[in-house]
Amino acid sequence: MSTSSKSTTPQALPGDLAMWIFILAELAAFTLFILAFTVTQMLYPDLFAAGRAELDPSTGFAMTVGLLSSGFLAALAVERVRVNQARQAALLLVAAIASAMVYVVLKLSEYTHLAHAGFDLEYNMFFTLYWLLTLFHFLHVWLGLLVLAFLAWRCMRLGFNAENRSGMESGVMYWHMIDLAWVIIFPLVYLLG
Amino acid sequence: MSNSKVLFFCWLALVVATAVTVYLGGSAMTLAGQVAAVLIVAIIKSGLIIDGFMELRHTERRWRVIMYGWPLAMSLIIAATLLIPYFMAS
Repeated sequence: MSTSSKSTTPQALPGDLAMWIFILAELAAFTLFILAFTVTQMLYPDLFAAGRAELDPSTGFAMTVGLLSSGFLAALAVERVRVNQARQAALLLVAAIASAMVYVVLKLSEYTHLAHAGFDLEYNMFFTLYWLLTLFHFLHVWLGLLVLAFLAWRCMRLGFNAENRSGMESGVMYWHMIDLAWVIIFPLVYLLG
Repeated sequence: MSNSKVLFFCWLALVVATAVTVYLGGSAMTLAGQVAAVLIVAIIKSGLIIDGFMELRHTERRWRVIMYGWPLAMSLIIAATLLIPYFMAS
């Protein structure tokens, strides 16, 4: 899809309409968790400030860069499929999975550190909502990684091409939705307040 | 500019914006200033994902409005819940 096009006619959504409806439903689910976190934070600001002090923003930064780099590589993979270079797309998707593993490893390390320090799900309201919100996102990352792995496998078998790419675009759009949710969750949980 | 270049510049801007977010989060600003600055950067980052990675800049305006609506609504809710008690106390 060239950005140099002079056409003013809107183009079709990338991927299937059903995936976009699913993405909106997923964002609605994230909204409920974010609302629970923000409203409880309004009621217990000092408790949330103390809880947030146990988190490391630099780890959050590295996790965010891992996810965003993965989204970039997945978007490049879609570009490769559009020019019938599915095998190159498969390699880019494998790189996207590797980049996302930076997030997974750091998140697991953070979870382990907090659990060993006693900041578990029942420690206080901040950590209850921290675990629920970030675990909800973490599970979506795992689902997204499975989707990327399936797309890489299909690309390796030349299952997508310029004419048949809707499934590829749909899977990658889902992955971008996970990035979008994290862009809001990261400052809320690690930085603000 | 090719779409691959657009994607690269979006990624670069996202990484820089994330670093700016972390810097602002640790800066000695007032809470109101910090919340406003961090959330504005978060909305810009959301726009880079929506228009850049998801390529909604090419599609019908209603889809962009819907997708931009989510980070805007979340940012407003976060700002309101943080700043209402702050202004009531001051």
